[in-house]
Amino acid sequence: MVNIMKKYSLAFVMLAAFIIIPLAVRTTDVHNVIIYILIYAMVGEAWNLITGFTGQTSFGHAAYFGIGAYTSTVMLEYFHITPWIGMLAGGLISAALAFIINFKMFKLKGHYFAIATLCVAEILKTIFSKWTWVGAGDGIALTPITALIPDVGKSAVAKLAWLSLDVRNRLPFLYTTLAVFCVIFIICAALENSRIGFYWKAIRESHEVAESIGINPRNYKLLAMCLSAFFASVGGTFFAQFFKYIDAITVFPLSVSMIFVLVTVLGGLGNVYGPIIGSVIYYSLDLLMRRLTGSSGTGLDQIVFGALIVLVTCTEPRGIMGIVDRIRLKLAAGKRGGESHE
Amino acid sequence: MIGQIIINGLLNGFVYALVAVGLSLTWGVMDIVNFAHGEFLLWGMYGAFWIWALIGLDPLLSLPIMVVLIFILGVLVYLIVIRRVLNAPGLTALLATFGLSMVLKNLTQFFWTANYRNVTNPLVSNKSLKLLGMYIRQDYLVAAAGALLLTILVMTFMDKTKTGVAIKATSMNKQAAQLMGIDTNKIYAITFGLSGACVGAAAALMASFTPIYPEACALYSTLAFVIVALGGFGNIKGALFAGLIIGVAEALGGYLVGTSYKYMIVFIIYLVVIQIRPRGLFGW
Amino acid sequence: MKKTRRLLALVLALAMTAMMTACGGSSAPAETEAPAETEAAAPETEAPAEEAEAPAETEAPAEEAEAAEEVSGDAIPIGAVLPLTGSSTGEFLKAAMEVAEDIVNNSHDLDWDLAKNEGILGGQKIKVTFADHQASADIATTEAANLLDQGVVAITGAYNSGCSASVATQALEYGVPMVCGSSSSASLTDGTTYTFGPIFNRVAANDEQESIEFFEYLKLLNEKYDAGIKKVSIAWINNSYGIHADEMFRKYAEENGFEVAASVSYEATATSFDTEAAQIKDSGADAVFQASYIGDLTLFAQAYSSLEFHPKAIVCYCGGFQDASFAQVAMDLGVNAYAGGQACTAQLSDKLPVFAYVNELYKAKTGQDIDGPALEEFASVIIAAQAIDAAGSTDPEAINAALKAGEFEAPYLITQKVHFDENGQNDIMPAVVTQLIDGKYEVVYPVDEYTTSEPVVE
Repeated sequence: MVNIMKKYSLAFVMLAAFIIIPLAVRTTDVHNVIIYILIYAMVGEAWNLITGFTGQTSFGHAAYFGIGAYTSTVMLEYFHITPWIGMLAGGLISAALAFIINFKMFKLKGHYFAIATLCVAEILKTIFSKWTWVGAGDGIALTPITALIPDVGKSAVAKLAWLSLDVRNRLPFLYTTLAVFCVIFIICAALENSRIGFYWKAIRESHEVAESIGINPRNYKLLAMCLSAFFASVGGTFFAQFFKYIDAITVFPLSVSMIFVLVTVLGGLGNVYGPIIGSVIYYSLDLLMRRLTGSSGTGLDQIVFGALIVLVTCTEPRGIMGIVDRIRLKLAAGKRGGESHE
Repeated sequence: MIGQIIINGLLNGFVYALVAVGLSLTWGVMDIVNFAHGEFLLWGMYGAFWIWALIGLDPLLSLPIMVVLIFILGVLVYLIVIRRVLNAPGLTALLATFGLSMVLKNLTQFFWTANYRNVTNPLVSNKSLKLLGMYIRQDYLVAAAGALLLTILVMTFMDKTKTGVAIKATSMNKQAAQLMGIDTNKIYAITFGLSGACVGAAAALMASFTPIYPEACALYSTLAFVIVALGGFGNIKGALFAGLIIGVAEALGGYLVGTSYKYMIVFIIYLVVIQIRPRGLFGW
Repeated sequence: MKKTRRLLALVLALAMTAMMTACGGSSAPAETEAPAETEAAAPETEAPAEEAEAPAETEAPAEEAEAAEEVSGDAIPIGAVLPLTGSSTGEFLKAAMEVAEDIVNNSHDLDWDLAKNEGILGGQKIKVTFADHQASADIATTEAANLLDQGVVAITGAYNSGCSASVATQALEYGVPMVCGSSSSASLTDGTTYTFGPIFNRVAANDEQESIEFFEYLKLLNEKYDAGIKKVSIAWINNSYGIHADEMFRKYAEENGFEVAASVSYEATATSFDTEAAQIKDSGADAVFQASYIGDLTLFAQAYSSLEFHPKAIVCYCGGFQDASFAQVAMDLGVNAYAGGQACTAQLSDKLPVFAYVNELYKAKTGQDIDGPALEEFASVIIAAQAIDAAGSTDPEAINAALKAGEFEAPYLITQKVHFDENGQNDIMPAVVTQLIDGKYEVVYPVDEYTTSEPVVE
């Protein structure tokens, strides 16, 4: 227990911060940004599984993100099913789709695979933007849950099942998002240290080595991809509930896939902390820049921000976590009086 | 009608190839995914536009200027940013170019706002030549000729000049190239510059018929990624042919299936082809 | 070398932490939470599933109280969410809103009380606060929430129909009225697609009103100018705006006895429209409708010309047609067939003195004549101010009631007034059909004292 506390001390510090800050700073603006951070960190963790741990670059995670958003929304709007179930259904559909698509796709190497994932997301974007049943180019505007099911919340269980995912109660929604993120984070951290995680890393380093220790790389890659798709899809559900409006151009484009890449690589690729750290940095800076310069309409915020990304990548290729590790090492070295301890 | 659609597709395909050839150089040769490629194109187009707007020189005539300017931009980008992330693990280089693309794109917004700019009454206009009842746009025809010429030039350069051979050698095996006395740092700088020069030429050719605004090049660069992969990495001839295939597929597919689906068809083609040829159409 | 890099990294990390704390600090109000609550939340970390329950009741009232608190400043805050960056031309819309602010706040020598008097509610000024949604519906949501948090009493914007829906959805949550300027999608006010009807008001004509007017115009061309238009086709962008334009187009084409030859949809980001244009030409249409923004419309215009396709009329649902840069494109191509709905045109200056005055102020800011969307955004701020004045208070609920109840004086529009129906649509048709004749927007329909030119049929 103490060991876990020590090993994941950073995680506990961050968890405490995520619990306290929304209570201390009560503006919708800050709450929104925290929800943003958690949703994108969630999908970042998902993306990290397949790209960071297993080494298969995906530029198309928006595909699963979008399916999650659409599935839960359609189930809620058309069939009045709680998004909690929609979230699981979306996850299963995404995982199944990931399995079917990637069954054959994993024979592709490197960039050929990355471009293929991009194509899958783009194809889905077109399909959903023309599919009348899901609103086609109009998208779907989510009806407030209380308007959709007027007698909701009679029992405590029903209340929890429905209203915890109603963003109009912003703070509960934030904590729900946090809770689900924690679950995903814990699963990812556990996987990283498990036998499966070890195999994934072996595959990432070398196919031949992986095969020589008697594992089938494709099966393990498929496992990583399906899990990854599932989690990405969960993120999509939260996105839909958060914005209450989705259309194909909002959830499926390359720019969305790139956000997942961006936050994870910025934080630290192949590190469970990467996505959340990257997401925190990205969105708090994004908000700060927008509030400082945004309404001037000059794009200055984006310029400064882009320059910062360049600066970080040029100084520390392992992302922010690389910088954190260095500081840690330095502190540890200081404690031991300069004695090396690696 | 089908003839007209195919002609349109071919001409458009040449324009795609024009953009893709530059990308093929950095991506195929250096294994750097340059997300700022579209922004190089954007800067080229703005450059051509402003030369036209300020001193009245037609974009087509400013082509040599844009080639030189974007070559310099490419080299600078390499020296300032790419060089530092070249040996970094994972996708760090990609992230760096992504940050760069944000900077470059929003600088155009900062300097020149999001307004649409058009070069009016360019030297070659959108008037058409008529051939067998089909309309062939002059501006696209010139761009197509430019694309063909450019591809041949780049290929000749790679095959016949010492620098070209050195670039190839470096792409095959960097350590070996270094042992052979090749200054790989210089070679990379030249490759990046060359990629920029291609885009500069593309920009000058395209500025006559494309509305210019900060988001103008988004789809061009996405398609360029698919085209380079479809053609096979590092294969310049592959990029040209893949561009043409994509152009025709887009036009024909759009006509037969529905214009909203035209890009979807492009992406499906990639997925199908890549199953049969996992290293692209012309990959080695 | 390594040392400097390490140092740089450290400085960077420090700078970032500093910025993050600054971020938290700058956006935090003076309010601090009772420590008891944070403590209560802390032990729950082990069982994340339960967390959702705990703070459930504390939230909503706190937010409202805060919003109300900040309205105590001197100027009355009005929010405006616009696409200031991205692919649309938000800066012009912003300039128009600033002109409106000026008209309301300062004394102007016009025969119009709102302009003559300084401020509203007996001298109080208004302050329009701008936010940038970058043409993205999700950013529109967070930006609107931020403005609403700052206590704006009314919100305006957002140009793109999808973004207007996002902003209105947020506004509904806060019970703050929205005056939407130029978004034209019929779905915003159809009363069924969205739930924000009770707080939503739109100045611009919607696709349905425009469709009715366009087909009347085509019939006029047929009857009076012998244009012989029978087949009509439409090219529409595949988004909320285009879908409803297409729907209304088909509905009213049928009602008015025109044959729909082709309905071609396209993706906003496409690089060329030669295939689409060839399809439209192939359909043999006598008149073409366009639901397009400026970039795509320009490419379409070029493609039509290069195919030597010259329909009798090319009728555009608001959007790109109204952009001044398109007038130049059409003139260079030597085509006079383009027509479309407009709230105004500079050609009307002689007939509408207030409009001429507004246009002068706008021109001084931007260097060009005011166009339809800009005038509609101008109107949205003016109407918000008028509603506050009519309500006699800055209470959002009262303002909303005033918006839904009254008729608003609009001497800058041909219609002279604006009135919103129960779904928030301006039901006094606020647009005329203008035709681009030699690069000038001439009013060609309806035929009345505001008509500035006869239509040209080629």
